[in-house]
Amino acid sequence: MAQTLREYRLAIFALLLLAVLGSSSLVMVGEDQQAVIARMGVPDRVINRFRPDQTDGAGLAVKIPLAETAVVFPRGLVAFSHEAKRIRTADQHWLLIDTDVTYRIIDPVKLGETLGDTAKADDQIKAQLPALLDRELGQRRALDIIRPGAGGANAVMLRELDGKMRPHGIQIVDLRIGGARPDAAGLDQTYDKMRQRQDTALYEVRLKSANDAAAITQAAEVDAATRLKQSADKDPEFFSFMRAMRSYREMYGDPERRNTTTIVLPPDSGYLKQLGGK
Amino acid sequence: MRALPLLIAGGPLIVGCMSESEGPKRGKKRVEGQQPDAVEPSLDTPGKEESGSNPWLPAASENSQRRSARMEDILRQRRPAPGSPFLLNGPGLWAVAAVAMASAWLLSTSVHNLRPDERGIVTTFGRYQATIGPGFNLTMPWPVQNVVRSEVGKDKALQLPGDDTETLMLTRDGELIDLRVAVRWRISDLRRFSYTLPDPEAALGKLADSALRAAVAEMTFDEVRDEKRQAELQQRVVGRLQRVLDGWQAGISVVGIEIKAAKPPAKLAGAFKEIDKASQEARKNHETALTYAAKIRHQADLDAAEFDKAYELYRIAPAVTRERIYYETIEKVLRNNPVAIGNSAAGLPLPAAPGAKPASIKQGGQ
Repeated sequence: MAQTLREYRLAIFALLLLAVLGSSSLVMVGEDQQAVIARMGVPDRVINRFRPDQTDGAGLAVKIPLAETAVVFPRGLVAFSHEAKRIRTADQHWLLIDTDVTYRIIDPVKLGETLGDTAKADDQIKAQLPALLDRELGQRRALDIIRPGAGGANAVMLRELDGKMRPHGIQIVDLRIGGARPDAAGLDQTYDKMRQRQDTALYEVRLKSANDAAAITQAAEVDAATRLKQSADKDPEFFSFMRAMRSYREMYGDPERRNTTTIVLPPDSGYLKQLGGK
Repeated sequence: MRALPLLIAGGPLIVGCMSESEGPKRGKKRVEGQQPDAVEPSLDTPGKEESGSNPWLPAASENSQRRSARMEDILRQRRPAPGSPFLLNGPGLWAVAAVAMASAWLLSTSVHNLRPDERGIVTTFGRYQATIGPGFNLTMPWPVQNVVRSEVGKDKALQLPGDDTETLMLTRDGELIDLRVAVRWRISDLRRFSYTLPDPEAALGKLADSALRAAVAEMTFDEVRDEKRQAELQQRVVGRLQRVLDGWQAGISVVGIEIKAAKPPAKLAGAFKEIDKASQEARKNHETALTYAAKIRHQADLDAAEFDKAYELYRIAPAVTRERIYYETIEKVLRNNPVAIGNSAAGLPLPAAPGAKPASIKQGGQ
């Protein structure tokens, strides 16, 4: 092995040199990348720069070894999220707002010159957003902010942020309120409100249930009375007699619930009258 | 990365095959150069060759034995040397390993067998070249061409929220609801999907969450919980989500969203459970009332029918009917109770007991 290395050391050296030169004179730009080629630090050209409906810039590009350097930027959309900004709404609620910003680098040279990279661009957006959110959302009611488009605030903020980021070669493609929720105090208030409504609802459910049962029972009782009256009207006196007989049967005539009551029959009772031979 | 196991598995296999073809070649070379066996130690295990007492080497003379000695060499080379796990040693092994690695590299980076639901994006030095379909595909090896496979035929499901935490969303009436959904989506344009968003699934998740919150904000708490109204919510979310994704040219098609749960906040679970319980009780009370109502109506019908029947007879023969009913009742009452005859105050005097009735009974009895 060592012998082989010694024999071919020239060739190996040449190969290595070629590899180094090759790699420093070629730059591979992916479909989702755009690269700024700078000659001695001065931007010279952009490989695979974003243009709508034009996708033929990616692949291998040539550059002068050592003299030119390539800085790669994303070509697609870049997402940035700004979390939990505290906002006081027009109707005096405190909301925590998450904002999702989607942008695209339309001029990587400008971005490279003014800010540097996407992390710096994110920082810039992060610096601009709070004031925008305060101003735009501060003049809207909480219930408008949570609606689609945040009551028009999203569009206004997008326009303004876009205007501020254009000089850095960045186009704001989308800005939306990702989430809005009450802060800790507001959360407790909301819970209290919800609990109160549930208590009222509970009371209503129970009241309604009681009324409902009473109404059903009463209607049935009226029906029953009406039905019995129909019959009783034929002969009220006989109906009364029948009802009494039935009552005796039920109170004293049921072998199932035998009474310990002793029934005393006076000898002159209606029942024993015939026994006396009268 | 998928090709890596193949590369490792293919290694020893090819080494095994190559050792057989390499052996004779080396033997032949030795014949041509008329090299003595003593050169071998550089190839084989040192020390072993020098001993003339090697039982595998016939001690006999030069020329006639040289051919068989060659075979012996081959055998010796194939036999693992003590302490060495490999079949080959030295530069030969390196050459074989290099060829094996190269073959594995060629095979794994230029042959692509895609499953029916897979598509592959072929890039040449990073530049989009083509989209390949299912089956057997050949490309130039890496790093010239590269293939990234994706499942495009299948619907994918994205759970929101990703972990099982409570996600509270504000409703139109200013209440909070904990919503869990699954977004079903698929890749509609693989090329756009691959290059527009750095992390399409994460971006879709954020968008879906935002669209969901916006849709929830348009409905009241009770409406969001009402399963009949949820279709409306789903439709709105899918519509908005798709419009934004199309605007971005993200190559994503949203198939639908599924509401897994729409719950009140965990903190209020107790209050809501109580309402559920009360509602259940209300349903039960309603049923009980209905049963009771049916029962008293039925009883009234029975009582009225009984009277009507008796009245029919009474109308024809009032005195007889009245008397019969009276005696039947008395018999039944007296049969089932202890009876005393006398004027004692203890006990229950029958005619006096039901209040004013005895008068009519007396009349009936007469």
